[in-house]
Amino acid sequence: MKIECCGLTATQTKQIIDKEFADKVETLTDPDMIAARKVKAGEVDYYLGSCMTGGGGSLATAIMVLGYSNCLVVSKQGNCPNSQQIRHMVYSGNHKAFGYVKSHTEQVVPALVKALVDKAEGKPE
Amino acid sequence: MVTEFVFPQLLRTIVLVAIAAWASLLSHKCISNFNDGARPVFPELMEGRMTRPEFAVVVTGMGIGWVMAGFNQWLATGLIACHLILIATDCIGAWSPNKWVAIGLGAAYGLVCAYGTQGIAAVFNALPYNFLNDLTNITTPVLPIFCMYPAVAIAGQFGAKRGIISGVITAVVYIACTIIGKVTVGSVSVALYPYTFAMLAGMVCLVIYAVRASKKSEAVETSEEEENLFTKNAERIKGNWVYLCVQGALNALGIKVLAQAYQPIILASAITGGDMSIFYLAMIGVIFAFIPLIVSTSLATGVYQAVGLTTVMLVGALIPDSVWFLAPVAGFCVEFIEIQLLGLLGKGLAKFPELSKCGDHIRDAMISCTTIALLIGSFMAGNAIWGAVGLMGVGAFYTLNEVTGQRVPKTAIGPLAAVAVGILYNLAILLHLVTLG
Repeated sequence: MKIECCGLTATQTKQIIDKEFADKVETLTDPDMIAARKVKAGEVDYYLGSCMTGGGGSLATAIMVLGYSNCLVVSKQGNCPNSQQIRHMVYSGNHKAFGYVKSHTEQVVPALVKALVDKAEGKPE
Repeated sequence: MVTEFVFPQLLRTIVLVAIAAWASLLSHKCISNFNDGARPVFPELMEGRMTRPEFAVVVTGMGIGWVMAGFNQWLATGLIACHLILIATDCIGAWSPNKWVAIGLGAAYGLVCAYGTQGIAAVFNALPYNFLNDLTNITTPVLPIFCMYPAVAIAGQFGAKRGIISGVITAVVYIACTIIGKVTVGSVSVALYPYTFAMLAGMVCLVIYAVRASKKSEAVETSEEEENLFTKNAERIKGNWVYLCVQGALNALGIKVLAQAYQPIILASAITGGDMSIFYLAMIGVIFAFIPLIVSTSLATGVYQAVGLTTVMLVGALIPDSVWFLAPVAGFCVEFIEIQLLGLLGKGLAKFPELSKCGDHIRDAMISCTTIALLIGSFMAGNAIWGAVGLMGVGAFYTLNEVTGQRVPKTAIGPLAAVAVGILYNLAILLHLVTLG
């Protein structure tokens, strides 16, 4: 599985994924414009982005390139979901791009990537 | 904390009401909004995929934390922040069933903010122990830490080594300025305001590294589909130029008479420090850092940013006090130029994606610096109010918020905790648990 890490905490996101999912996920940190196009072309599976609000800078480019329906705001200011809720969001939709608040990176990324990996491997929710 | 204003309360109130009413109308008509996070939702309403109540719920959900952050900024600075006004008017405009309701409710909200903040200040005065003065500690660490944002951005984008070099240069320049103090060339004497020059040194380092990196980066071709979307949305924004230029004029006037403040924490530090140059310099960094975000979200949606590319704030603040009435004229013109350049900026960013990454790093660095500065300042305020118990209180609120999923935004929890400590201290006085010395 290939994941593009974008947005304000791109480096931190990449570090978390590389540490916890080294054998399963390949991470890239292209600029958002290139990253979103790679996802659209199918070269990369998912787009992760962070910003101050969870849905603005993190997903703007992804929304433009992939369309609103392919993008999901995972966390908002003042509302960070737990890993169970994140898992449910991933399983109940078919999104390609995920946005979250930059200060939620540590909480969101491990749960989100775990859910994406498990879903791809066909494990139940 | 800013307590003395050059311009009278009545003028500031009228300007604030006008800003709030107009912003609410423009949010209602999907012409502009302030919350960059909510902007991508607007096309859902415009293209009929969401009903107005559904849309309003989403916009409000994304905004409520920021209104609280705006209130905190007021507590720390005494200035009414854009976040307090414009995030709320986003929501008011979104809920309003028609444009008259939007204007009316927006104006009412502006009025409530103008007088409500005064009312709260009166409440503080009535307390057994008025801790408003202690709260000014919150902004004490802001300038020293904010000066370091270029070094932090460099560390993020170009590696720790270069970041440390830039950080050391920044610190050396600061110390040099405090030693030299004043430079006299012929009959002109220039005071070296250390924060300004330290930040300038950091920004020069940043530009040097960014230019070097951009030489290596490659240009990217945009697809026809994206170009069409860009052009269509740029045209929509251009078509609304009258509305937007009036908004630009109001914003410029707002910051001139301090009816509304942008980057209030730095602005307040600059005003109390008696040197506005640090604010002007910081704004240049802010404008550069926000261009990629605002241009990309605007061109992706056709909805513009309520404060534009924030250049109106710099231009408005630059107008001298004696000719304050020129601020709206300048704001109108600058906003007009911005709108005309929007399509061009979008094409540039799409072609050179490294530049937009650079903006991301600067924004991240600025936010990280102000977040940590406000947190430390809040501890200092807690300490000033109630010593060790105050430190304990702020620390407890902060960590509690962390483990329960950050219900309060990280930038807001510190000041809010300091206020809570102040209230608890007053309660303790009333219960005779502590006695005032």
